[in-house]
Amino acid sequence: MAVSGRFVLLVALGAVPIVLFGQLYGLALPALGWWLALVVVLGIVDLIAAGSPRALALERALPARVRLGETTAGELYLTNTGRRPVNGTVRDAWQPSAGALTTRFAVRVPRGERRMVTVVLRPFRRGERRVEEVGIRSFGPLGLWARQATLRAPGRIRVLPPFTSRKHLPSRLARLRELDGRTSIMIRGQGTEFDSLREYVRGDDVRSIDWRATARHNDVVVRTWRPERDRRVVIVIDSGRTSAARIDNEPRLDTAFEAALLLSALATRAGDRVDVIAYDRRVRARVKGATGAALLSGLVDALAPVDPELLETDWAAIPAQVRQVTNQRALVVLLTSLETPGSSRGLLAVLPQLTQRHLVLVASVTDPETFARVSRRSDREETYTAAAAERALLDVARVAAAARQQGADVVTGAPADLPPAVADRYLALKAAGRL
Amino acid sequence: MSQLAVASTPTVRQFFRRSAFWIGAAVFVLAASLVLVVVNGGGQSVDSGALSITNAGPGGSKALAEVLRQQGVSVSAATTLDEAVAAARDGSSAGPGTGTGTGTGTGTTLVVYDPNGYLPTDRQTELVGVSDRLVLIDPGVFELGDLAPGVGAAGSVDASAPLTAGCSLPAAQRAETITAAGSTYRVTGAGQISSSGCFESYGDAYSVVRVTEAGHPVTVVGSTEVFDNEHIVDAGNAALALGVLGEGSRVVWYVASAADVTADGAPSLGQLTPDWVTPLILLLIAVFVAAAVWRGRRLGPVVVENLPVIVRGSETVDGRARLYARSGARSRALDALRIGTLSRLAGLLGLPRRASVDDIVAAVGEATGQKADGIAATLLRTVPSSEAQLVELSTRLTELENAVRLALGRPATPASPRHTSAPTPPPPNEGIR
Repeated sequence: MAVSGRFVLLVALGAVPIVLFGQLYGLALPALGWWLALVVVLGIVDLIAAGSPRALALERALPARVRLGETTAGELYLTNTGRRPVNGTVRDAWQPSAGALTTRFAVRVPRGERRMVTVVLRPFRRGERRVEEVGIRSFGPLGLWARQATLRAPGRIRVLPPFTSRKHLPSRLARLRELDGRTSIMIRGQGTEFDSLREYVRGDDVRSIDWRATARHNDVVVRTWRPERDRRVVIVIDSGRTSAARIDNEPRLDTAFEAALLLSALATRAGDRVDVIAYDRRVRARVKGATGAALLSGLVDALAPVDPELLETDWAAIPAQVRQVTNQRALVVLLTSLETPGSSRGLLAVLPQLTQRHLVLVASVTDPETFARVSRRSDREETYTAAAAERALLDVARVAAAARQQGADVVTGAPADLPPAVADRYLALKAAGRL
Repeated sequence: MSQLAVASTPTVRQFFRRSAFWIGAAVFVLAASLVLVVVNGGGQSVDSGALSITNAGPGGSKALAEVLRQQGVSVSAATTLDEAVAAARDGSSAGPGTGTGTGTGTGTTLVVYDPNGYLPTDRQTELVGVSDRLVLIDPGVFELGDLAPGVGAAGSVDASAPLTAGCSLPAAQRAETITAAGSTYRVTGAGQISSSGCFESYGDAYSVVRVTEAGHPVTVVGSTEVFDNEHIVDAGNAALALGVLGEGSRVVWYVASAADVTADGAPSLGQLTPDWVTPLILLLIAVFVAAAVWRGRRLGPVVVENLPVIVRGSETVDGRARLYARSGARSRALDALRIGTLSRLAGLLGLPRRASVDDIVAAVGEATGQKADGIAATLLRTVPSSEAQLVELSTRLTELENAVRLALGRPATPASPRHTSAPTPPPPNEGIR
C-alpha cells in the first residue's frame, strides 16, 4: 500500500472544518475525528477500487549486448489480465551501472490491453548488467491510496569492452599490407616464406633473381617473399590481483583487453591463429580456434564478464595452459604488470620455460603519473614523492631487464599507448621474420 | 501471451500467515500484561509523603492510623483544603459556634500538617470551627496566628533526653515522657480559659500546647516524631498521639499538598488559546505522518550491485613517499633520485650500460663545461644533513640534467617516455652504488 501527495493534501484540508466547527460550535475535537475517519474511509474505498498490480503480465525485449559507452533501449511490455484498469507508476529496477536514464514511468493499462515502456540504457560498467524486478503502484480512481507489488521480471544485458583502440587498426593493417609484399616488393627480407615468381622489373633486388626459373623462361624471373602465415599467437591476460589497479582511471585489466582485441584483430588479418586465455588461478575466459569476425565477437563476448580477482596469479600453471593450446612454436603475449621484483617473482620464474619453446612478449601498463612525479620537486613532500616514483621506475626497469635476460621481449606503456605499442611490436617481429 | 509474473511482495493473506507467530506473540504479551495490571489492582504508586497515613515508610504515619482504626476510630485522609473541610463538616457533630465541650468518643478531630507551607494564608481561617477538635502538627507562625492566636512560636528544641509531661493534660500525663525534637511553643494569649503547656524544654517553651479557640480545643504539637512510624514507639510518643487523636470517633488527616496552592495573576497561555488549536496540532501530526508515508514508501526493494574495488595505481608510490617522509630517509630518497638521474644521463650521453659513475661525471663535465668536483658532489658525494639540503640537492640534480640536455640540444624538460620498447634505457647500474 502507498499513499499519494493528494491524500496528504486532503488530510491537511481538515484544518478548515476544525477551525470552522471549533470557532462556531466548539466542536473542534469531534471535527478532527470525523475528518480523519472520512479520509481513511475514502482511502479504503480508493484502495478497493484500484486495479491489482499482480494481474499484470510482464514481458521484456532486450538487446543481447551493447558496447560500453553506447546507448541502447530495453522494452518492457505490460499486459493487464485483471478486471480493473491499472493506473499508476512502474519502476523498472535496473542495476545502477546499467545507466538507465529514468526508471519510473507513468502507465495506464486498460483492462485486457497491453502497453510498452521503453527504458533507455547507457551502461557505464563492463560485464553483465541485470534487472530482476519491476515495482508497480496502482492508484484507485480518486488517486489517494495505491496498491503496490513487486513482480519478478529478470533480464540481462551484456556490456562489451569498448575496444576504443580499434582506431589504431587501419594504420596497422596498412603496415601489414606493406609487409605482405604487395606494395614494397623491392625490398628483400620482408619475410622468409616463398610466395611466387614474377618477371623482373627494373629496380628489383638482383639477389632475389631465381636463376633456375630464369633459365626455363625467356625472361629474368625474381622470387617474391611474404611474411610467414598460419603462425600461432597465444595471448594470456592476467586477471589476478595486480590487474585491479586503476591507471589513468582505467583498470589494468581493461587496458589488457584493449591490447588483446587490437592484437587479435591485426593477427587474424595477417593470417595467424589467435588464442586468448584470461587466467588468474583458473581460466576466466578462453577463446580458441576462431578467426576473422567470429574471433573478435567471440572475444568481446568472452571477456565482457571477466573482472579482476583479488588473487595472486598462479604463473606456474601458465606453461601448461599454453601447451594445451599449441605444441608448435608460438608468440606468447603475456598481458600483466611488471612492478616490483617481489610481485613479479612468479612470472620471472616461469619465463625460461616459455622462452625455451616460444617467443614471449611481456606487455605491462606503466603509470604516466609516476613519470610526471619524478620531475615535480619543488618542496619536501614532492621531493620525497619524486624519490619514491624514481624508485618505482627503477624497480620496473630492473624487472624488465630481468625478463629480457630470460629471453622475453618487454613492452611497457601508458594505458592509451600500450595497445598500439603491442601491435607495433607484433608487426616488427613479423617483419623481422621471427615468428 | 505472456505468463503472469511472480510477485515477490506478499499478499495481505500471506503477510498475516507469515507473521502469524509474531502477531500471536504480541497479542499474548498484551493480554498477559493486562491481566497482571488487573490482578495487581491498577498499579499503586508508592506513597512517600511525610506523615501520610498511607505511607508505611519511616517518615509516614500508617502505624498510628492503623492503630486508631483498630480502636474504632475512623481515619480518612485529605490532601486539599476543600477536601479536608468537607470531610470534617460531614462528620462533625457540632456546627460552627455551637461546640460546647469535648465529649469523649464523639466528634471529629481534624489533623493539619503543612510542612511546606502550601496552605494559602488567606484561606487558613476556613479551617476554624469546622471540626470538634483541631490538632496542628508543627505549625508555622502564620498558621498559628490564624488557627491558634493564643499560641506563639518559641524556637526549636533538639532534646537528647525525653521530656516529661509536667501538666494536667490527660493524654500528656498518660504519656509521661516523649521524644520531642522539633518546634516549641508558648502560650501568649491573655484570658485563655483553659490553656496548658506540656513537655517544657526550657522556660515557658512547650512541645505540646492545648488552648481553646472559639469553643473548640486546639492542640498544637511541635514534634513530628510523636506521629511518624520511626519514632512512635519511643518513650511515650504512642500514648500521646493516641490520646490526642483518639478523643473523637473520627479523624480527618489533612496533609497539605501542592494542589492547595492557588495560582493568581494574568490568565495563562493555555486559557487564552482557542479550543481548536490542540485538534489542529493533532491534525498537523497526522499530516506529517501521511507525508512521511507518501515520501518514504519505496517502489520496490533497493537494487544491490557488486561494485569493483577501486585501487589507484599510484597508491604504492604515495605510500612509499610517506614512509620516506615519516622516517626522514633522506639518503635513501636521494639515492633513488641520483640513480634515476645517472641512468638518464648515461642514456643521454650515449654511454654503455656498464659505465661507472666516474665515467658519467667526466662525460657530464665535458658536455656542460662544469667542474668535475661540483658534479661529483651533486651526483655522489654530498650527504644531505637536513631536509632543506635534500630539496636543494634534488633541484641541483634536475638542473644538471637540464644542463646536459641543453648542451646536447635536446628539449630541456624530459619528455616522459610514453612507451618503451627495445632497445631499452639502461637499467640501474650496479656499479653506481
